[in-house]
Amino acid sequence: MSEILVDPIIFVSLAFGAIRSMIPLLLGSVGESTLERSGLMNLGVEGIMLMSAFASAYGSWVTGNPLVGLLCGVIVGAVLGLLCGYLSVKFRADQVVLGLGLTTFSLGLTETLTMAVWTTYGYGKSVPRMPPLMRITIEGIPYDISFLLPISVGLAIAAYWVLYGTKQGLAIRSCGENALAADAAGINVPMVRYATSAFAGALFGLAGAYIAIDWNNIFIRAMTGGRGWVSIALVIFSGWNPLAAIGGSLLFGFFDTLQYWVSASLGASLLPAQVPRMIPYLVTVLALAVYGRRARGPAEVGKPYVKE
Amino acid sequence: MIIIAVGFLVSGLIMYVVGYDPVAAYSAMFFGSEERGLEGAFGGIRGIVSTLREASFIILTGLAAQVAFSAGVFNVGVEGAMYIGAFVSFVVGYALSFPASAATNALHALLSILAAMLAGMAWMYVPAYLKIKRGAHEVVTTIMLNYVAMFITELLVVKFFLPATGIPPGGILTPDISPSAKVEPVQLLGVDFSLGILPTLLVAIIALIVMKRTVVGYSIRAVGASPRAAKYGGIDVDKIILLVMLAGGAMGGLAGAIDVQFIEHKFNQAFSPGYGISGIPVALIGRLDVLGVVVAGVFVSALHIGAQSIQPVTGMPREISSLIEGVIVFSAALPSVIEIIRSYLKRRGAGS
Repeated sequence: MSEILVDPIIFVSLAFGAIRSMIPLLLGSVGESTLERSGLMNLGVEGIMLMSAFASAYGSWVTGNPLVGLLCGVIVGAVLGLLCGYLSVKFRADQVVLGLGLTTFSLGLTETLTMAVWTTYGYGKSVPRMPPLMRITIEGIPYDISFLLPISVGLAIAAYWVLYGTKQGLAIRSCGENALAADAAGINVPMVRYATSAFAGALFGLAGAYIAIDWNNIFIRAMTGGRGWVSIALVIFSGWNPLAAIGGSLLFGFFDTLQYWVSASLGASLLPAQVPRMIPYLVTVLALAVYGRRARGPAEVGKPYVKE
Repeated sequence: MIIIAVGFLVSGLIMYVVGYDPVAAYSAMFFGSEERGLEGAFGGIRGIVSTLREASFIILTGLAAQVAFSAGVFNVGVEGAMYIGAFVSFVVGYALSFPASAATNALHALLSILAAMLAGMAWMYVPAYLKIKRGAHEVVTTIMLNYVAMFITELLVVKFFLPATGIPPGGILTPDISPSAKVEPVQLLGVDFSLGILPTLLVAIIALIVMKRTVVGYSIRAVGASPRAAKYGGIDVDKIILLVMLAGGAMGGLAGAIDVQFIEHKFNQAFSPGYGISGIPVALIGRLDVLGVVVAGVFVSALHIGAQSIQPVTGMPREISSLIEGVIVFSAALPSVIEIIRSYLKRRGAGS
């Protein structure tokens, strides 16, 4: 393992890999942190990401314009996020069951739609992908930097600033800490929660779109690969703080990319491919084990608020 | 019942919008298609036997989810326990070989099953411990551990039971277990009928008695209703959480052993199309009732088996069953909406 740090080429490719892998995790955890700060919880991140991934691939396929695809992913995400928020607030839906249902549904829906659109099973056809923001060539190897890297980091900073630096942010946080008091102070609790739901959904959608038409250029069955769930774990890991999520997602992105690197470089002789593939999931469990109790989130996450 | 109707209606609507024929799909699902020689879920003895074979897994995973739900715990980790259990039951079935006689066969089979159940419990101890001692949310940890379990079993099979040249075209499979550990199917109207449903029904009966007639069952429901009140009433809440999760692990392990010993007689890395996850809709449809889970388990199994007949008839993928299950789970999250529909139906019923 020591050669990772010594060999500059390996170090560079791992670093770029980590940056690529961190984007969907960062978007997911910034969205979920903001949402949970307002007192709601969305466990359907994985499902929303998957459906948005499909929507973006479809949009890019139909129009031939990946930007339209990206927009489709964001809109689908925002609508689904808002739907979850609306059902949670208005109908006091069980937010855990809702998320699990949405995720199960997304697998069946995207699979059916893949068949309907591309008449292929399990994966679609290749679609136009997002152009890179820039291409850096080091030692003859080109590395692409996605537009979504500055956008996702920017969104994390913006979310932090709004949450902790503005009056609106105070309103959001007070809804999550004590909805009754927030209501008494004249804050429209449902409205705040709808706004954060739509915002979070849009970010999940952006993450799905990134996975389908930026990182890849095709829709593949269950291509989000548990990244939605990892994002939720990251929220706890980063203490519901969007700024800390930048570091957290970079760390998790590193473990995510390590699996591809180990299987490609070391080969199955030294380390079987399954070991690195387990790493991101194991690290998530470990992170929860270490931070699970120490972390203190918003007091009223997942508790429906009903105005008396 | 209403959530099932909603599930079919919404999914049918989606099929229609996308351009498929939902009526043909549902008819193929349940009754098959005579011209194509398909039996669907209930259209013939072969269909029914397949549905019951599927149900031997899904009732178990549904019970595992339901027992946990009753205590307010969301155990999504039954899938992982199943993989671990299936592998351990294979190891015990493969490593040992008993002389052939009815008694020794039964002993070997029982030994493998018990080992699988213990392994499932040991596996589930990890998220249970993390939830109780570290406050880690069980939904996230169990889903992560499902992935880990799949990779661990894949690693072990590839490392020890496959040639070094790579994965053979048949998939990631082990050799057969010893004959003494196999439980052979019986002939029923000319069709192989797997007996895996028997241990499943036995577990359902035990679960029914425990939940309805014992102090433990009462404590589980008390914790589910209000952990704080249960604690005040002298119930050790942590112990109940541990208990329901370990029970789920044991049931998952048993489900894995059923595949290895009753059905495939080997460990097949691709044996589960997500049985563990299907336990969630089963538990939600069955509500908090063991008999309800048994009926719901047969129903969801019929969805899965029927979906295989949908594919050749309409061209839709068999994941269409996830679509229907997803809508059902989604609507189960909305008791107040279901209540609105129910009262509307009642009013219309009273009016006409």
